[in-house]
Amino acid sequence: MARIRNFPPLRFFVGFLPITVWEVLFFLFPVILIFMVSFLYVKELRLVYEWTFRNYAKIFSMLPYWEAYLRSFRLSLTAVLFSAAIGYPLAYTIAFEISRRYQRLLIVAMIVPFWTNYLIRAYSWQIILANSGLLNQFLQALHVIETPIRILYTHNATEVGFIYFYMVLMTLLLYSSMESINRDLLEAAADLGAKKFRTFIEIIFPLTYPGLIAGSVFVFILSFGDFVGPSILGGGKNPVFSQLIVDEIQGTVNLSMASALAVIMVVTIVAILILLLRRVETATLRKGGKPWRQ
Amino acid sequence: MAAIKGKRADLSHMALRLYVILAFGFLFLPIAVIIIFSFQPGRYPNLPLNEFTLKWYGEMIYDRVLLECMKNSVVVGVSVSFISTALGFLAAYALRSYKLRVENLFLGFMSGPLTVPSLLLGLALLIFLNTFLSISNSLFSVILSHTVICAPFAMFIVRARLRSIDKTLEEAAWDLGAGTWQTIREVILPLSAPGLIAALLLTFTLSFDEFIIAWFVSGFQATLPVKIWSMMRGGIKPTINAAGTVIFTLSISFLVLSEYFLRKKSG
Amino acid sequence: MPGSSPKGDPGILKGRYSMEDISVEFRNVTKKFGEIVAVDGLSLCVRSGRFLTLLGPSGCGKTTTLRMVGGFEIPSSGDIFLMGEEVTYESIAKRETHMVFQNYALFPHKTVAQNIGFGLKMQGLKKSQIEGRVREMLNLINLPDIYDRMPHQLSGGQQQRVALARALILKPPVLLLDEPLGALDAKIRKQLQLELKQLQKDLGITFLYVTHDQEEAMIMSDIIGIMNSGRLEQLGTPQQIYETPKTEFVAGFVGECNFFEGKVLGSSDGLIEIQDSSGRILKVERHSFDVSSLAGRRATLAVRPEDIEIGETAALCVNRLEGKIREKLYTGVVVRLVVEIEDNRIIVDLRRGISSLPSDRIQIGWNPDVGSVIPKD
Repeated sequence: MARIRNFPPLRFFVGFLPITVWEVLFFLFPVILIFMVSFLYVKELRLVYEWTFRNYAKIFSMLPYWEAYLRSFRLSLTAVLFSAAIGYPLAYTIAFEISRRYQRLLIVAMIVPFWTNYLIRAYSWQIILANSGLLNQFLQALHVIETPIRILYTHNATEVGFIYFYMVLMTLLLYSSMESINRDLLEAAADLGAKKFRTFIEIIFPLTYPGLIAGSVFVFILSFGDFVGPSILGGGKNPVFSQLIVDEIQGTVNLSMASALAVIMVVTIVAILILLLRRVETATLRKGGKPWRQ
Repeated sequence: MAAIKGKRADLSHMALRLYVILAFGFLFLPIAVIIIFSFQPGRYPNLPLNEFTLKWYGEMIYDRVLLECMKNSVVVGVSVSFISTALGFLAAYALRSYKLRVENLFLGFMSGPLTVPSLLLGLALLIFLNTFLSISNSLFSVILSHTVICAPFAMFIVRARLRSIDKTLEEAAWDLGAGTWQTIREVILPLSAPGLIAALLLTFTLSFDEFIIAWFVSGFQATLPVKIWSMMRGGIKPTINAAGTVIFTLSISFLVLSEYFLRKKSG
Repeated sequence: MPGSSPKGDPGILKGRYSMEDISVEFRNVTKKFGEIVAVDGLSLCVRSGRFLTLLGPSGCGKTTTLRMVGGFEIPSSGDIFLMGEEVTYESIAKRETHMVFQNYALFPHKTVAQNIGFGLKMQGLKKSQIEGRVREMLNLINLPDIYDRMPHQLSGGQQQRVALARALILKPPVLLLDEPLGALDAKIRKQLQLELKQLQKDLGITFLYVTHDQEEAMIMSDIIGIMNSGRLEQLGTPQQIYETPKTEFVAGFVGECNFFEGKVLGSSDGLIEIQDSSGRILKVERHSFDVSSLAGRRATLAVRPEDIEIGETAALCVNRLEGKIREKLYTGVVVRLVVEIEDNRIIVDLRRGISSLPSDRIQIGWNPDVGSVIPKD
């Protein structure tokens, strides 16, 4: 008795449907909703269902919004640069200077702090970076400085926080693209006379380009959308973009304004994603064709 | 010449290793600070260190509200981990059994919740659940929301694990007369158990530590991170150190446990 | 016929199907994986109670064919019948055939007993009933003590037998075996080959066996189906396959073979005459081909190395050739000569103990009663 060949059985649906329904309902719809709500407005704490551009008009016309946006952008870019700078040697050492057995151990060890509570760690940095905090106490005790360095509640503190929280992500992504480099290439380079540093510049760095791009994308996105870090470490004086969004939610309870700001954030993120991920594609294609420069 | 080369290589090797140690020191510094100063008597963290004391832990235990929030977090965490792992397992198994033509689209869609900043997700869910569906903010909303992130996460973990189960084992089970559910029960579940446990543990910690979404949708039933946030708003509080140490211990042990389970081989 | 092995009463499995049924039938079955044609228009009948082996190189489609019988693959076109009923799209679980997998596929988390009893558990039998039959089965495969062991504690040969027992306990009318001995050492493999053959005889069920090892196929099978690139090249008894191959592929795949290409002139005195490129005429007896349809056609004469004589005996043969000895190899079973005759390398196998071999030029020969004609195209 012939069955219809290409129609999948019931259990196919039982497998895919629940999670898909859940995500469509509680992820896709809500996100689409934000877009829609951003074109409504709020009067007396209630949403008015009339299409309007006023939220966007307000955002684009008022300086504080631009300032916050650019601040976030700059902080995230700096975070990317620093985590790349710190992550490269770290990833390199683990991938190439440590025996295979311990590599996994080190990777897990690196993930451990990454996996603990964000708030608590941010609080810890507060303790460390405060004017009367541990860092200043330590430096003063060593007589390196006389008066405390002001770090907490400045953007430098936020920067330190960003680097701390996201360098692991960058390092992991770099590590994974380093790990997949064919060791024969390195031996060939050594055989042809390249010393460690040259090998790194000529071979390893180009080949880890995809990992670098991926890491940059993620570090940027996560730091751009980060609220907790800047709030706890940077204070409220010169807010970042994410703080503006939260202000509209918890402060003025203007959900449509918050949505408009959120949309701008989403657009920024998507733009970065598209821009950079396309570069990953071409980079990986190139990886197959030319292992070292002519 | 060779001797000098060797020395130089050794030097760079040592320098790099030193760098790794420093980097790890940097990574663990905040954690160490929290733990150490949870046992220090002073209200403000001070160097040099004084005698160890447990008084902040004592204060923590008597803080009813704090414990209530901890309970809330556990309830949410357990619910989220079970729901997410179940959803994730079903999807992972379906992925393995059927060649989906839109598989990349599906996987991309599932990666969405994991890449979008939780600030945006929190706002989106707040509007959707509270404003549109008029579901008042509560732990229920938190559970719904956390599952959005944790289910795909669980799916990816279980999927990786299912890959290591030989397809012929399933074929043998079918050949011997087992139906789909029987095969899952008799063969797939036992062999993927370590992966499932790891998914449960990891999604629990993910939910347990999550702050911003919970902040938006939990309403009056604060979870632990939400409570800690309000405590932090009130200035430096050493009980936070004690609570933090407890939380750290939980997260780290779950992570290590799940790593153990993920390392186990399946037959 | 009583089993000669002391393994226990094989009668527990006998007597369900009459000997004259066709147990497996393929009607013009094709299987494609995307663009690749794995099985191409296969038609085949397997009589009940036979040991049929599908033999061929990797990628010839034999495993795919086997899997289609079991339901693990669905044909792209064509039909499959089991015991007269169409089962082309039937689910794996519903088919009455059972498979012994190449890697045994024993459930690593279950004991030997749980593995063997799995099928019965799926049928809903009670624990007490299952236990009895499992122990019976363990006796049949001569491993009564491994009831509670785990698969990883067993040797390869033991695992293989457990896999066998797991399938046989369900009394399938057709047993499918996918290169079950491939992973075993030569010595155990030889032992198990004979055991499997005996088992099949005792049980009387159809065995559908797949292997790429031609020696194994020759030893064990009642019928061999040689497959190449998805097609069935020849179906016959081991003797037919060996002595009267229908294609050059078959001739060359089973054992060594020498090929002489030429044109069929015709026949005289019941012998077919083939003229090769140098004008020589070679004679061979008619076997199964109608000579009139062959006349004028190009054909290959296939002669086995062991059928070729040398020296004085060769001089007395009808077909005689002269050539230079290129190599002398001692294989333990035979002395193998590679003789070069005008660009053709002829292999001659001689029994050990041939006293003296000429060092350079040699005369070889054979009579028309050996060799077979394979028409080209």
